[in-house]
Amino acid sequence: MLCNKVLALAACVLGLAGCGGGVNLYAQPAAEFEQAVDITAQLTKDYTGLERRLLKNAQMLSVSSPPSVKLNFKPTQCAVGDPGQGCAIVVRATGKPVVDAIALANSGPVTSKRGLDPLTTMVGKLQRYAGLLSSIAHATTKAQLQTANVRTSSTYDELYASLSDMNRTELKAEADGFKDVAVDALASMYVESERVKLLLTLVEQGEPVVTAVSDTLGSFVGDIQNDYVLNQKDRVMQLVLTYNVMGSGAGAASSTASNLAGQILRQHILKRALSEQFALQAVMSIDAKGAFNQMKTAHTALLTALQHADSTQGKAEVAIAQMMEAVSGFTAAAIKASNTMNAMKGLM
Amino acid sequence: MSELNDQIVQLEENANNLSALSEKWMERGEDAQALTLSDQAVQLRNQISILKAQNRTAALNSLAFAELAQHMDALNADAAKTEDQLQDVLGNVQTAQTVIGAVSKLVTLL
Repeated sequence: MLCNKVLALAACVLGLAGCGGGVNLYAQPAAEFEQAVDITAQLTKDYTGLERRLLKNAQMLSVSSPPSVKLNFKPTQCAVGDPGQGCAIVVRATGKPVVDAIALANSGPVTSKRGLDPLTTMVGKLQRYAGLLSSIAHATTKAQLQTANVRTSSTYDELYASLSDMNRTELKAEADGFKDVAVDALASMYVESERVKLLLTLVEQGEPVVTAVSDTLGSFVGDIQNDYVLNQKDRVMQLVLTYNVMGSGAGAASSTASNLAGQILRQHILKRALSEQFALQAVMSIDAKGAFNQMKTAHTALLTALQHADSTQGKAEVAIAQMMEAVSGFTAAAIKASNTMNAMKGLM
Repeated sequence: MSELNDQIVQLEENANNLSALSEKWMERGEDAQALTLSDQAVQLRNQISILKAQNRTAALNSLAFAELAQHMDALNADAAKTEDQLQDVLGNVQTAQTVIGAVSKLVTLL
């Protein structure tokens, strides 16, 4: 009889501790959302860089296209720690840099007047949100829950193994130990129940915001990617064709210096064409819009997990009441059994 | 904005046509002709890049984007508040466990 009670009670505690362990139900989706946000943050950073590169190319070509333009570069004025004007390729006639890096950084269309890129700023806000969610989902109790599970399990084994020859004092001590485990399990359940409620409210509130931000950022980054790919495809083709055309003209009557310049240039063009081709392939291999969709999906998955956890917790609250009743019943029954055993020993 | 978009669409169509034509000339081995077209395509793409970047900048500076940023700020404020509330819960539970433990010992002694 007592054995059955202990078994039922231990199963109840284990089950409840398992509910407390239900932290995994939403901690994993929270971690996945945080990871998805980090991926998109890196993408946004990379693609903002790509846009600057596109603009730099446009600026460069607008200066250097006319055939009459000659350039200057003075290696002797290039010093480590001083990457200023002296180390820049300049237009010979004007002395101005072909690409004004400082002006580009300060007045580029992507960069705001305060020097903050709005896309990166928005992603930063998203990262803060993901970090807070993760912090709320994982705060402090995970280790406690694991400890509670282990303690519950070992207490059950001890109880089951030593029940047959317990005296009253030992049984009372076990009952107290068991009560401690029950208190731990109840506390964990309460924390998880509160955590789920708090997270659910927050994530429900955040769902439309995260969706809108994901769609907006995905659209911006996707647009930059398309723009870059189109530009890059034409740029690679232009370089390949230039390489071919320069090769066709080789051997024609011209000065030695001109021939040498032609060969050097051709080698550089091939090197550049390959480098641009690798850059193109790298950018094409990334599904930028897909990454933002994944982030959105990860947040929705977190919401679903929380809704599920919330309904599970509802059932667990009924189980708490049953367990509290069982704990007091067990204590009384255990003491009664011990008394009976002692009485029997006295008779023998 | 709509005018700028129309202009971008038109320029992109031209650039795509030039690119496709250049590819055809290259397939025929007419590299010089292909290069002329390809170079025009690159020049057009550069113009489009600048226009598109202007378009994106306008969108990033728009009221709609600012509003979205405000929603994110409000969400983060709520998240920070939620984190505080959970810390309170954890603190309360710890206190409760300590009290239960003390009462339990007291009962045993009595």
